[in-house]
Amino acid sequence: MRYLEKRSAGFWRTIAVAILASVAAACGFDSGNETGRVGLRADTALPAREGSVVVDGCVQDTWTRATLASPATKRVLRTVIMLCLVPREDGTVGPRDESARAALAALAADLKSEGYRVHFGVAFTDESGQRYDGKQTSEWIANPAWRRRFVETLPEVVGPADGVEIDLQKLPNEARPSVTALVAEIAPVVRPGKQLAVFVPPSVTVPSDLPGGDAISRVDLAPHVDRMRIMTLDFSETAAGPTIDPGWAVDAVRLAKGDFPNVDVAYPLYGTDFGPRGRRPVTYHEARAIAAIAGVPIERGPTGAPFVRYVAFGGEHHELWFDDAESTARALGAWSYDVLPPDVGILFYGLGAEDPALFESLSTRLP
Amino acid sequence: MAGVVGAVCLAAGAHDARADYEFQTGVGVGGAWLRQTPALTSKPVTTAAREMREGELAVGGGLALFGFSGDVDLTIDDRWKVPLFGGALFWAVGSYDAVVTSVDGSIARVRPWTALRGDVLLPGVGRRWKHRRNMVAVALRTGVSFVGMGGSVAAATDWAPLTLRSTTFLLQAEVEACRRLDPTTRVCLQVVPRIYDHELLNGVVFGLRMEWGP
Repeated sequence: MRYLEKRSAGFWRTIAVAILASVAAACGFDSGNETGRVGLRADTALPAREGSVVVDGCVQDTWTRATLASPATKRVLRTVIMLCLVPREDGTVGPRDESARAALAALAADLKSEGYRVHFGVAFTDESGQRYDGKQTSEWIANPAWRRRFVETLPEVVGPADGVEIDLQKLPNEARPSVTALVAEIAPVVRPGKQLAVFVPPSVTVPSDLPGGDAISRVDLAPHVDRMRIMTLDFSETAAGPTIDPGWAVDAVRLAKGDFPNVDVAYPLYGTDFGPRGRRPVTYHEARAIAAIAGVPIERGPTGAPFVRYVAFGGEHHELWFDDAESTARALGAWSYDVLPPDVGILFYGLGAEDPALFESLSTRLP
Repeated sequence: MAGVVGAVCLAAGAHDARADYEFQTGVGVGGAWLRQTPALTSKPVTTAAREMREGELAVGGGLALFGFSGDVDLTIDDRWKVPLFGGALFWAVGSYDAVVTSVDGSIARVRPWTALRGDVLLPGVGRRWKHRRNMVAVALRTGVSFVGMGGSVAAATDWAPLTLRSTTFLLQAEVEACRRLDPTTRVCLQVVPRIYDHELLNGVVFGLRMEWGP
């Protein structure tokens, strides 16, 4: 009997020692895979928000028309902003020629027939239509006669639109009274029948952390506009990096929303190629083509944005950051309602440059 | 709280009846399963992109854990069991995917394989039955449990480390079957369903336990 007891005790001790040894050696490790649980969880619902898209120009090619005609895009977008009006040196808003205005009217009618609201954006560029000259613009809008001419001619070109968007960039902070005066003078001629919105720099502090960020005063403009589009784009300007950081965008929208309730957060559809001669915007297809031609892998940055490192002409080293359906859905998922309230809209910037799978992917995740 | 009250009442009752009470110690080793990893709270952190306040991250998924435990019990009249104080430390075992999630609008990444769980076991109340060298015991006890794991938050091209924690009230049922090895030592198989651990019925602990006492 005593022998059996000793044997039993020895058995249990052996078991205990074996378990202790195995436990001491046990640990967790990385499978090398990822599981998505961003915001409302990827592959389930994304927060539904009112979507708008900016088309940088007056013309839509067949590609963008096909995109806008798809049912998936119509689920995501409600408003199309054609950023194509440009003020001239005397304050006249162009385009002025009959052909251009007729084409714009036809385009607006076509988009409305697809179920979209159409806004015309006024890009305060020089006459090249591409370059923002803040000094010249601030001189123009400081002149009451110039503003008067602008306000007189604006209704002639925005007739077919449901709204007007004001895109002022690179202004010095001193232009603030002129900006407020311009918007205050525009509002009475636009707002009776149309919406008026302004593009606002994505400041995250007061005073603004951006050069010229205080030229547009949200508080002063609030009584005169229906919506403010917070342009949370081009986060990486000097060093290579993603076009947007989702957390930074949240801070910019929160600050703006403290001054005005109806705001949009902007999301880029384009990418940026950083090289030794500066940066340039690129489309999704161009980014993929560069990666394929250069034979380099597409990596993902911390925010999920894809990027490519490649060597271009003359041995110049480039880094190209862009967004695709996955990175966009990830950011939009991170902006759950506890982070950005449901009334914050999304402004997609640069239709035509996006991942062709984007709107299909987003629409399947919407509730 | 119920456990504390129960323990006090039992102790008081035992004193009135001139009952015998003795202390018992135990150590255990075994596995655990956390059915659903709770949302974790991150401490404020400054990144290259922003200053972030305290936030909550959805992690989800289950965790397999291994670890050690130890505690001190009081036995009254050789029948009543009053778990007093104890502790347990578990760590993740097995293969895990990194969890891509978000905190306050920023993209974050959590590493479940770095998970640590600590339990501070507080008083409870239970009963035990002996038959020759064998014993069966059950107890209900309270405690505080915390789980933490490594993570980081994205800031453009960089990551900033996150400190992630979650603490909860704990209520668990302890069931054990034991066999005496010698007059003061027992070896037990223990199963401990976690009645409340961040949420209802959120896992179980199981393992071997050595006890020294009556």
